[in-house]
Amino acid sequence: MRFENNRTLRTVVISLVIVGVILLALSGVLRPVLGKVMDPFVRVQGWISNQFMAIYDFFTLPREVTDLMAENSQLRNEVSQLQSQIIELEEQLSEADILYALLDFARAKPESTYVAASVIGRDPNPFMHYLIIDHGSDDGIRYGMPVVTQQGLVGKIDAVTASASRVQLINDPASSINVRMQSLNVEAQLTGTSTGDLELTMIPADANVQPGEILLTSGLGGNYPSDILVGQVLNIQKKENAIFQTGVVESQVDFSSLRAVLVITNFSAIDIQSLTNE
Amino acid sequence: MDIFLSSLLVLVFTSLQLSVVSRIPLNHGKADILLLFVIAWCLNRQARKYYIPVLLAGGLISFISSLPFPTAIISYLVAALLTRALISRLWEMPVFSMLLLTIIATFFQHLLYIVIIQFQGITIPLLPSLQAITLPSIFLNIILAFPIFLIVQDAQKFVYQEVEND
Repeated sequence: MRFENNRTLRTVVISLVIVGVILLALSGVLRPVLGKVMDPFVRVQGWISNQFMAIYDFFTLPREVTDLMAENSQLRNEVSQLQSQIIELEEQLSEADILYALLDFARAKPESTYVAASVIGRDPNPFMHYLIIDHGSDDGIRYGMPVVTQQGLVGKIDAVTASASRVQLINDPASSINVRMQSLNVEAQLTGTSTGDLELTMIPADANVQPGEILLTSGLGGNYPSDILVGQVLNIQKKENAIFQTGVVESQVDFSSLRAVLVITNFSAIDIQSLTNE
Repeated sequence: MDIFLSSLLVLVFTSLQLSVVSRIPLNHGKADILLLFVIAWCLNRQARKYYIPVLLAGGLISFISSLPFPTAIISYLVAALLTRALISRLWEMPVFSMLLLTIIATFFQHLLYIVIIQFQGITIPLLPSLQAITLPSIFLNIILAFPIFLIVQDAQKFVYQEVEND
């Protein structure tokens, strides 16, 4: 019985001490004491935590770097894809600009019918100036049809297959076109050269031709329709006692960067070869 | 196998010539990678049926070009025969032979073109043409001779090693 009373008393005392300590802790009286007791523990806990995190990082960080590198590579791929898309779209825009310009030209001259064609190649022979276009007899293209752009005359169809054609440029050395000057009632002949320059010949000696004079096709000879812009006179050479003057012409067409052309399909060249031979 | 591969290379080089190389002039000259291919292919002694790609290349270019039909065939055939004739008389290093033959063959080709064009009734001034067209063309061909030679040599290694293994 006495033993039981002692145990009860001890329990009550311990409980009172615990409650007292809790009350003291809650009231803040034990804070300095707790601080001193907890401080070493917190330091040890911090050290262990740091060591653990170091070990954790050692095992997990390389994996994250690999993930980042993979993500970086993926993003780089996306960027390059987008860049190539931009280039493609710019290319399409440029092609669309060319086609719109050709369309404007075709609308401005509704009396002719046109077939638009892309330039797909050039004659490998450096002495001759020819283009290869991606439309042929299947598209209604025939030998001798004139080829133009919005900037002026390009040349004429020289050979045709079912799906492609060869165009003789006006600056080819074998090309010869009858032209007239827009502001003068004077006709002349325009020939190409092996270096791609345009020479104006057969200008009457008494004609007062000035640089800047606009040249149009005259339609003589039946190779080209009349009134197609050919180019502009750059300079004129006048020799004493010569029957004709000569000159150099600049075409508005940049033959080296042609990408699309129009073929005038309702014009048939007249072959006068048989007449001249007989 | 060598006929198949050489024909395939002729088709690839023809396409490149028309769409890319002919659009990159130097002054007024243009490179002729088919001529370079012909020389590079014929430089290998093992290429006994060299005339097949040569005729194919000449035929294709003759069909496409505005020059009279056999002109390109003649120019490539002459380049091939010249290469075969000089192959044993030149240095052991084929790359030097390639460069020398490129210069000679390009010069001859342009001379042939000028003569043929003159026969067609078109006046080509000789000296200005040589200055503005032939010399830049030779320069471009020299630049392209080395890569074409390497491509053709690699292709021939593949073909003729296979033949030796058989």
